[in-house]
Amino acid sequence: MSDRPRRAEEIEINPIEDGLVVYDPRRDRVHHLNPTASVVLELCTGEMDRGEIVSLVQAAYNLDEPPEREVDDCLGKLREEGLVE
Amino acid sequence: MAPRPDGSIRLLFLNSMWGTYPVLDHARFPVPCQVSTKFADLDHADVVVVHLPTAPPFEELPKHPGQTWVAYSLESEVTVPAMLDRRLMGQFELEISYRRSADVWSPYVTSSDLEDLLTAPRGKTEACPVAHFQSNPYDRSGRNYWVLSLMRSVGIASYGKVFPTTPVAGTVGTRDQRLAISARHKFTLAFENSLAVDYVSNKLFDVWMAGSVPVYLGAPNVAEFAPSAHSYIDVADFEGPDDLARYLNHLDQHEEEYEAYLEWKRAGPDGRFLELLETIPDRTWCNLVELIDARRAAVSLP
Repeated sequence: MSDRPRRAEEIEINPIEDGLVVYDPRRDRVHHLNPTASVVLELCTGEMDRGEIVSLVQAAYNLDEPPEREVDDCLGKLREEGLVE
Repeated sequence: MAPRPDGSIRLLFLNSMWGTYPVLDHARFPVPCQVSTKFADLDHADVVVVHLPTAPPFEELPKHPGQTWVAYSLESEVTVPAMLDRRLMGQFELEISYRRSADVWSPYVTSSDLEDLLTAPRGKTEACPVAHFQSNPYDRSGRNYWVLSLMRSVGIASYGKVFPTTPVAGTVGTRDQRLAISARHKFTLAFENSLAVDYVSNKLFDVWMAGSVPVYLGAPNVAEFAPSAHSYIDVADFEGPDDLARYLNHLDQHEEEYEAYLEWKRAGPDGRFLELLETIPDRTWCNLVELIDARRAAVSLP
Protein backbone atom coordinates (compact mmCIF):
# COMPACT_ATOMS: atom_id res chain seq x y z
CA MET A 1 0.00 0.00 0.00
CA SER A 2 1.47 3.36 -1.03
CA ASP A 3 2.03 6.19 1.44
CA ARG A 4 0.95 8.53 -1.32
CA PRO A 5 -2.33 7.25 -2.72
CA ARG A 6 -2.59 7.33 -6.49
CA ARG A 7 -5.58 6.82 -8.79
CA ALA A 8 -5.33 3.59 -10.73
CA GLU A 9 -4.07 4.38 -14.21
CA GLU A 10 -6.55 2.16 -16.00
CA ILE A 11 -9.75 3.75 -14.70
CA GLU A 12 -11.81 6.13 -16.81
CA ILE A 13 -13.23 9.12 -14.97
CA ASN A 14 -16.13 11.17 -16.27
CA PRO A 15 -17.82 14.14 -14.63
CA ILE A 16 -21.57 14.05 -14.04
CA GLU A 17 -23.98 16.45 -12.37
CA ASP A 18 -23.28 15.50 -8.75
CA GLY A 19 -19.87 13.85 -8.77
CA LEU A 20 -17.98 11.41 -10.92
CA VAL A 21 -18.68 8.21 -12.74
CA VAL A 22 -15.69 5.90 -12.79
CA TYR A 23 -15.35 2.88 -15.07
CA ASP A 24 -12.86 0.19 -14.18
CA PRO A 25 -12.23 -1.85 -17.34
CA ARG A 26 -10.22 -4.47 -15.41
CA ARG A 27 -13.28 -5.46 -13.39
CA ASP A 28 -15.84 -4.13 -15.88
CA ARG A 29 -17.45 -2.17 -13.09
CA VAL A 30 -18.96 1.29 -12.99
CA HIS A 31 -18.82 3.37 -9.80
CA HIS A 32 -20.89 6.45 -9.07
CA LEU A 33 -18.96 8.51 -6.55
CA ASN A 34 -20.62 11.12 -4.35
CA PRO A 35 -19.04 14.61 -4.19
CA THR A 36 -16.85 13.87 -1.17
CA ALA A 37 -15.52 10.57 -2.52
CA SER A 38 -14.96 12.32 -5.85
CA VAL A 39 -12.82 14.98 -4.18
CA VAL A 40 -10.78 12.36 -2.32
CA LEU A 41 -10.25 10.32 -5.49
CA GLU A 42 -9.12 13.37 -7.43
CA LEU A 43 -6.68 14.28 -4.66
CA CYS A 44 -5.04 10.87 -5.00
CA THR A 45 -2.44 12.10 -7.45
CA GLY A 46 0.44 10.13 -5.97
CA GLU A 47 2.05 13.38 -4.81
CA MET A 48 0.25 13.86 -1.49
CA ASP A 49 0.32 11.67 1.56
CA ARG A 50 -2.74 10.79 3.61
CA GLY A 51 -2.14 13.66 6.03
CA GLU A 52 -2.11 16.22 3.24
CA ILE A 53 -5.30 14.79 1.79
CA VAL A 54 -6.99 15.00 5.20
CA SER A 55 -5.86 18.60 5.52
CA LEU A 56 -7.17 19.53 2.07
CA VAL A 57 -10.53 17.85 2.66
CA GLN A 58 -10.77 19.77 5.92
CA ALA A 59 -10.23 22.98 3.96
CA ALA A 60 -12.70 21.86 1.28
CA TYR A 61 -15.55 21.56 3.73
CA ASN A 62 -14.39 24.15 6.24
CA LEU A 63 -14.34 21.60 9.06
CA ASP A 64 -13.27 22.41 12.61
CA GLU A 65 -11.52 19.08 13.02
CA PRO A 66 -9.43 17.10 10.52
CA PRO A 67 -11.68 14.42 9.00
CA GLU A 68 -9.18 11.63 9.72
CA ARG A 69 -11.60 8.74 10.05
CA GLU A 70 -13.81 9.81 7.15
CA VAL A 71 -10.85 10.11 4.79
CA ASP A 72 -9.43 6.77 5.98
CA ASP A 73 -12.78 5.09 5.39
CA CYS A 74 -13.07 6.63 1.96
CA LEU A 75 -9.50 5.71 0.96
CA GLY A 76 -10.12 2.20 2.26
CA LYS A 77 -13.18 1.77 0.04
CA LEU A 78 -11.46 3.26 -2.99
CA ARG A 79 -8.55 0.87 -2.48
CA GLU A 80 -10.91 -2.05 -1.94
CA GLU A 81 -12.51 -1.29 -5.30
CA GLY A 82 -9.13 -0.97 -6.95
CA LEU A 83 -9.63 2.68 -7.86
CA VAL A 84 -6.70 3.82 -5.75
CA GLU A 85 -3.32 2.16 -5.34
CA MET B 1 -22.19 11.81 -52.44
CA ALA B 2 -22.96 13.91 -55.52
CA PRO B 3 -24.03 17.55 -55.07
CA ARG B 4 -27.78 18.02 -55.11
CA PRO B 5 -29.31 19.93 -58.06
CA ASP B 6 -30.34 22.81 -55.81
CA GLY B 7 -26.86 22.92 -54.23
CA SER B 8 -28.27 22.22 -50.79
CA ILE B 9 -26.45 20.34 -48.05
CA ARG B 10 -27.98 17.79 -45.69
CA LEU B 11 -26.33 18.02 -42.33
CA LEU B 12 -26.87 15.41 -39.63
CA PHE B 13 -25.93 15.84 -35.98
CA LEU B 14 -25.25 12.23 -35.03
CA ASN B 15 -25.53 12.97 -31.31
CA SER B 16 -26.47 15.87 -29.10
CA MET B 17 -24.07 18.22 -27.35
CA TRP B 18 -24.83 17.57 -23.69
CA GLY B 19 -28.52 17.21 -24.54
CA THR B 20 -28.87 20.17 -26.88
CA TYR B 21 -28.14 21.03 -30.49
CA PRO B 22 -26.66 24.25 -31.86
CA VAL B 23 -29.00 26.92 -33.13
CA LEU B 24 -28.02 27.56 -36.72
CA ASP B 25 -28.31 30.91 -38.45
CA HIS B 26 -29.53 29.63 -41.81
CA ALA B 27 -29.84 33.13 -43.23
CA ARG B 28 -26.06 33.44 -43.28
CA PHE B 29 -25.37 30.10 -44.90
CA PRO B 30 -23.94 30.30 -48.43
CA VAL B 31 -26.19 27.44 -49.59
CA PRO B 32 -29.49 26.01 -48.33
CA CYS B 33 -28.91 23.57 -45.50
CA GLN B 34 -31.27 20.90 -44.22
CA VAL B 35 -30.49 19.91 -40.67
CA SER B 36 -31.44 16.64 -39.04
CA THR B 37 -30.87 15.09 -35.64
CA LYS B 38 -32.45 11.76 -36.62
CA PHE B 39 -30.16 8.75 -36.84
CA ALA B 40 -32.39 7.36 -39.61
CA ASP B 41 -31.09 10.13 -41.88
CA LEU B 42 -27.53 8.83 -41.72
CA ASP B 43 -27.67 7.23 -45.17
CA HIS B 44 -28.83 10.44 -46.84
CA ALA B 45 -26.66 12.99 -45.06
CA ASP B 46 -23.93 14.91 -46.89
CA VAL B 47 -22.32 15.95 -43.64
CA VAL B 48 -22.29 14.00 -40.37
CA VAL B 49 -21.25 15.91 -37.25
CA VAL B 50 -20.07 13.82 -34.32
CA HIS B 51 -19.82 15.50 -30.92
CA LEU B 52 -16.82 13.57 -29.59
CA PRO B 53 -17.27 14.15 -25.83
CA THR B 54 -20.68 12.45 -25.87
CA ALA B 55 -20.33 10.26 -28.94
CA PRO B 56 -21.70 6.72 -28.95
CA PRO B 57 -19.53 4.06 -30.62
CA PHE B 58 -19.45 5.18 -34.24
CA GLU B 59 -16.50 3.34 -35.75
CA GLU B 60 -18.68 0.61 -37.25
CA LEU B 61 -21.30 2.95 -38.70
CA PRO B 62 -21.56 2.99 -42.50
CA LYS B 63 -19.80 5.88 -44.15
CA HIS B 64 -21.01 6.54 -47.67
CA PRO B 65 -18.73 7.73 -50.47
CA GLY B 66 -18.68 11.51 -50.65
CA GLN B 67 -19.99 11.93 -47.14
CA THR B 68 -18.07 14.37 -44.99
CA TRP B 69 -17.67 13.41 -41.35
CA VAL B 70 -16.90 16.18 -38.90
CA ALA B 71 -15.37 15.71 -35.44
CA TYR B 72 -16.59 18.37 -33.02
CA SER B 73 -15.25 19.07 -29.53
CA LEU B 74 -14.82 22.15 -27.40
CA GLU B 75 -13.59 19.99 -24.52
CA SER B 76 -9.86 19.50 -24.19
CA GLU B 77 -7.97 16.64 -25.74
CA VAL B 78 -7.09 15.51 -22.21
CA THR B 79 -10.75 15.09 -21.32
CA VAL B 80 -11.56 13.66 -24.75
CA PRO B 81 -8.63 11.34 -25.54
CA ALA B 82 -10.23 10.42 -28.86
CA MET B 83 -8.88 13.73 -30.14
CA LEU B 84 -5.36 12.36 -29.71
CA ASP B 85 -6.17 9.05 -31.41
CA ARG B 86 -4.83 9.38 -34.96
CA ARG B 87 -6.59 6.29 -36.23
CA LEU B 88 -9.93 7.43 -34.89
CA MET B 89 -9.50 11.03 -36.01
CA GLY B 90 -8.53 9.66 -39.42
CA GLN B 91 -12.16 8.69 -39.90
CA PHE B 92 -13.08 12.37 -40.09
CA GLU B 93 -12.53 14.71 -42.99
CA LEU B 94 -12.90 17.83 -40.86
CA GLU B 95 -12.45 18.94 -37.28
CA ILE B 96 -14.18 21.74 -35.39
CA SER B 97 -12.51 22.42 -32.07
CA TYR B 98 -10.70 24.86 -29.82
CA ARG B 99 -7.41 23.67 -31.38
CA ARG B 100 -5.89 26.20 -33.71
CA SER B 101 -5.00 23.41 -36.09
CA ALA B 102 -8.69 22.55 -36.56
CA ASP B 103 -10.30 23.05 -39.97
CA VAL B 104 -12.83 25.33 -38.29
CA TRP B 105 -11.22 26.93 -35.27
CA SER B 106 -13.78 27.52 -32.56
CA PRO B 107 -12.15 29.12 -29.53
CA TYR B 108 -14.07 30.47 -26.55
CA VAL B 109 -13.67 34.11 -27.62
CA THR B 110 -14.54 35.99 -30.79
CA SER B 111 -14.39 39.59 -31.97
CA SER B 112 -18.02 40.06 -30.90
CA ASP B 113 -16.83 39.71 -27.29
CA LEU B 114 -14.56 42.75 -27.48
CA GLU B 115 -17.14 45.21 -26.16
CA ASP B 116 -17.87 43.01 -23.13
CA LEU B 117 -14.16 42.52 -22.51
CA LEU B 118 -13.69 46.29 -22.35
CA THR B 119 -16.47 46.84 -19.82
CA ALA B 120 -15.11 49.10 -17.07
CA PRO B 121 -14.25 47.35 -13.80
CA ARG B 122 -16.57 47.94 -10.85
CA GLY B 123 -15.69 48.68 -7.25
CA LYS B 124 -14.36 45.70 -5.30
CA THR B 125 -16.85 45.52 -2.46
CA GLU B 126 -16.40 41.97 -1.19
CA ALA B 127 -14.33 41.32 1.93
CA CYS B 128 -12.87 38.14 0.46
CA PRO B 129 -10.38 39.12 -2.23
CA VAL B 130 -10.82 35.94 -4.28
CA ALA B 131 -13.91 34.41 -5.88
CA HIS B 132 -14.15 30.82 -7.00
CA PHE B 133 -16.78 28.94 -8.98
CA GLN B 134 -16.52 25.19 -9.51
CA SER B 135 -19.37 22.88 -10.29
CA ASN B 136 -17.52 19.58 -10.57
CA PRO B 137 -14.59 17.91 -8.80
CA TYR B 138 -13.29 16.49 -12.11
CA ASP B 139 -9.63 17.42 -12.19
CA ARG B 140 -6.91 16.75 -14.73
CA SER B 141 -5.06 19.97 -14.05
CA GLY B 142 -4.36 19.79 -10.31
CA ARG B 143 -6.94 22.53 -9.71
CA ASN B 144 -8.41 20.90 -6.58
CA TYR B 145 -5.01 20.87 -4.92
CA TRP B 146 -4.38 24.51 -5.80
CA VAL B 147 -7.85 25.70 -4.68
CA LEU B 148 -7.81 23.85 -1.38
CA SER B 149 -4.24 24.81 -0.59
CA LEU B 150 -4.93 28.48 -1.34
CA MET B 151 -8.02 28.39 0.88
CA ARG B 152 -5.76 27.91 3.89
CA SER B 153 -4.00 31.23 3.49
CA VAL B 154 -6.07 33.49 1.20
CA GLY B 155 -9.63 34.70 1.63
CA ILE B 156 -11.61 32.75 -0.97
CA ALA B 157 -15.36 32.97 -1.41
CA SER B 158 -16.27 29.74 -3.17
CA TYR B 159 -19.73 29.84 -4.71
CA GLY B 160 -19.93 26.61 -6.69
CA LYS B 161 -21.21 23.19 -5.76
CA VAL B 162 -17.66 22.01 -5.09
CA PHE B 163 -15.91 23.38 -1.99
CA PRO B 164 -18.70 25.84 -1.09
CA THR B 165 -17.86 28.47 1.52
CA THR B 166 -20.60 31.03 1.12
CA PRO B 167 -24.29 31.10 2.05
CA VAL B 168 -25.28 31.32 -1.61
CA ALA B 169 -23.30 28.25 -2.57
CA GLY B 170 -24.96 26.17 -5.21
CA THR B 171 -27.34 28.93 -6.23
CA VAL B 172 -25.03 30.69 -8.66
CA GLY B 173 -26.56 29.06 -11.64
CA THR B 174 -26.36 31.54 -14.46
CA ARG B 175 -23.41 33.09 -16.20
CA ASP B 176 -24.76 36.60 -15.49
CA GLN B 177 -24.88 35.81 -11.78
CA ARG B 178 -21.31 34.56 -11.84
CA LEU B 179 -20.08 37.64 -13.70
CA ALA B 180 -21.86 39.99 -11.28
CA ILE B 181 -20.31 38.25 -8.27
CA SER B 182 -16.88 38.01 -9.88
CA ALA B 183 -16.96 41.76 -10.61
CA ARG B 184 -17.11 42.51 -6.87
CA HIS B 185 -13.98 40.48 -6.07
CA LYS B 186 -10.43 41.58 -6.78
CA PHE B 187 -9.45 38.16 -8.10
CA THR B 188 -11.29 35.18 -9.54
CA LEU B 189 -9.81 31.73 -9.93
CA ALA B 190 -9.98 30.59 -13.54
CA PHE B 191 -8.81 27.02 -13.25
CA GLU B 192 -9.25 24.77 -16.26
CA ASN B 193 -10.15 21.14 -15.62
CA SER B 194 -7.21 20.04 -17.78
CA LEU B 195 -4.04 21.42 -19.30
CA ALA B 196 -3.78 21.49 -23.07
CA VAL B 197 -2.34 23.83 -25.67
CA ASP B 198 -5.01 26.26 -26.99
CA TYR B 199 -7.55 25.04 -24.42
CA VAL B 200 -8.48 28.42 -22.96
CA SER B 201 -12.10 28.24 -21.92
CA ASN B 202 -14.73 30.79 -21.02
CA LYS B 203 -13.60 30.46 -17.39
CA LEU B 204 -10.83 32.93 -18.24
CA PHE B 205 -12.66 35.22 -20.67
CA ASP B 206 -15.59 35.57 -18.26
CA VAL B 207 -13.30 36.90 -15.53
CA TRP B 208 -11.84 39.48 -17.90
CA MET B 209 -15.35 40.51 -18.92
CA ALA B 210 -16.40 40.82 -15.27
CA GLY B 211 -13.48 43.15 -14.55
CA SER B 212 -11.87 40.92 -11.94
CA VAL B 213 -8.25 39.77 -12.24
CA PRO B 214 -7.99 36.12 -13.29
CA VAL B 215 -5.71 33.75 -11.46
CA TYR B 216 -5.22 31.25 -14.24
CA LEU B 217 -4.33 27.57 -14.27
CA GLY B 218 -4.51 26.09 -17.73
CA ALA B 219 -3.12 26.25 -21.24
CA PRO B 220 0.66 26.66 -21.40
CA ASN B 221 0.17 29.16 -24.26
CA VAL B 222 -2.43 31.29 -22.48
CA ALA B 223 -0.32 34.40 -23.18
CA GLU B 224 -1.39 34.18 -26.82
CA PHE B 225 -5.00 34.68 -25.76
CA ALA B 226 -4.45 37.51 -23.27
CA PRO B 227 -5.55 41.09 -23.97
CA SER B 228 -2.38 42.23 -22.24
CA ALA B 229 0.67 40.57 -20.70
CA HIS B 230 -0.29 42.13 -17.36
CA SER B 231 -3.97 41.17 -17.37
CA TYR B 232 -3.78 37.89 -15.44
CA ILE B 233 -1.78 35.95 -12.90
CA ASP B 234 -0.49 32.64 -14.21
CA VAL B 235 -0.30 29.86 -11.63
CA ALA B 236 2.53 28.35 -13.68
CA ASP B 237 4.74 31.27 -12.64
CA PHE B 238 4.65 30.21 -8.99
CA GLU B 239 6.51 27.46 -7.17
CA GLY B 240 3.47 26.39 -5.19
CA PRO B 241 0.25 27.54 -3.50
CA ASP B 242 2.08 29.23 -0.62
CA ASP B 243 4.12 31.32 -3.05
CA LEU B 244 0.98 32.30 -4.97
CA ALA B 245 -0.95 33.03 -1.76
CA ARG B 246 1.77 35.43 -0.62
CA TYR B 247 1.57 37.29 -3.93
CA LEU B 248 -2.23 37.55 -3.88
CA ASN B 249 -2.20 38.80 -0.29
CA HIS B 250 0.48 41.31 -1.25
CA LEU B 251 -1.59 42.64 -4.16
CA ASP B 252 -4.63 42.79 -1.91
CA GLN B 253 -2.70 45.16 0.35
CA HIS B 254 -1.12 47.24 -2.42
CA GLU B 255 -3.84 48.91 -4.43
CA GLU B 256 -1.59 50.49 -7.04
CA GLU B 257 0.06 47.19 -7.93
CA TYR B 258 -3.34 45.51 -8.06
CA GLU B 259 -4.85 48.21 -10.28
CA ALA B 260 -2.02 47.73 -12.78
CA TYR B 261 -3.64 44.40 -13.69
CA LEU B 262 -6.76 46.30 -14.79
CA GLU B 263 -4.94 49.01 -16.70
CA TRP B 264 -5.58 47.26 -20.03
CA LYS B 265 -9.29 47.89 -19.52
CA ARG B 266 -8.60 51.61 -19.68
CA ALA B 267 -5.72 51.63 -22.16
CA GLY B 268 -7.21 48.99 -24.45
CA PRO B 269 -5.89 45.55 -25.31
CA ASP B 270 -2.63 44.92 -27.12
CA GLY B 271 -2.65 45.17 -30.91
CA ARG B 272 -1.61 41.54 -30.97
CA PHE B 273 -4.81 40.56 -29.15
CA LEU B 274 -6.94 42.59 -31.57
CA GLU B 275 -5.19 40.87 -34.46
CA LEU B 276 -5.96 37.53 -32.87
CA LEU B 277 -9.65 38.38 -32.63
CA GLU B 278 -9.63 39.30 -36.32
CA THR B 279 -8.39 35.84 -37.24
CA ILE B 280 -11.05 33.96 -35.27
CA PRO B 281 -14.03 32.73 -37.27
CA ASP B 282 -17.09 33.79 -35.29
CA ARG B 283 -19.72 31.77 -37.11
CA THR B 284 -18.70 28.17 -36.55
CA TRP B 285 -21.50 26.40 -38.40
CA CYS B 286 -21.65 28.92 -41.21
CA ASN B 287 -17.89 28.53 -41.62
CA LEU B 288 -18.32 24.78 -41.76
CA VAL B 289 -20.96 24.99 -44.48
CA GLU B 290 -18.78 27.45 -46.44
CA LEU B 291 -15.86 25.06 -46.19
CA ILE B 292 -17.90 22.07 -47.32
CA ASP B 293 -19.41 24.03 -50.18
CA ALA B 294 -15.94 25.11 -51.31
CA ARG B 295 -14.59 21.55 -51.10
CA ARG B 296 -17.56 20.26 -53.03
CA ALA B 297 -17.04 22.87 -55.72
CA ALA B 298 -13.38 21.91 -55.96
CA VAL B 299 -14.23 18.23 -56.31
CA SER B 300 -16.74 18.87 -59.08
CA LEU B 301 -14.29 20.86 -61.21
CA PRO B 302 -13.50 19.03 -64.48
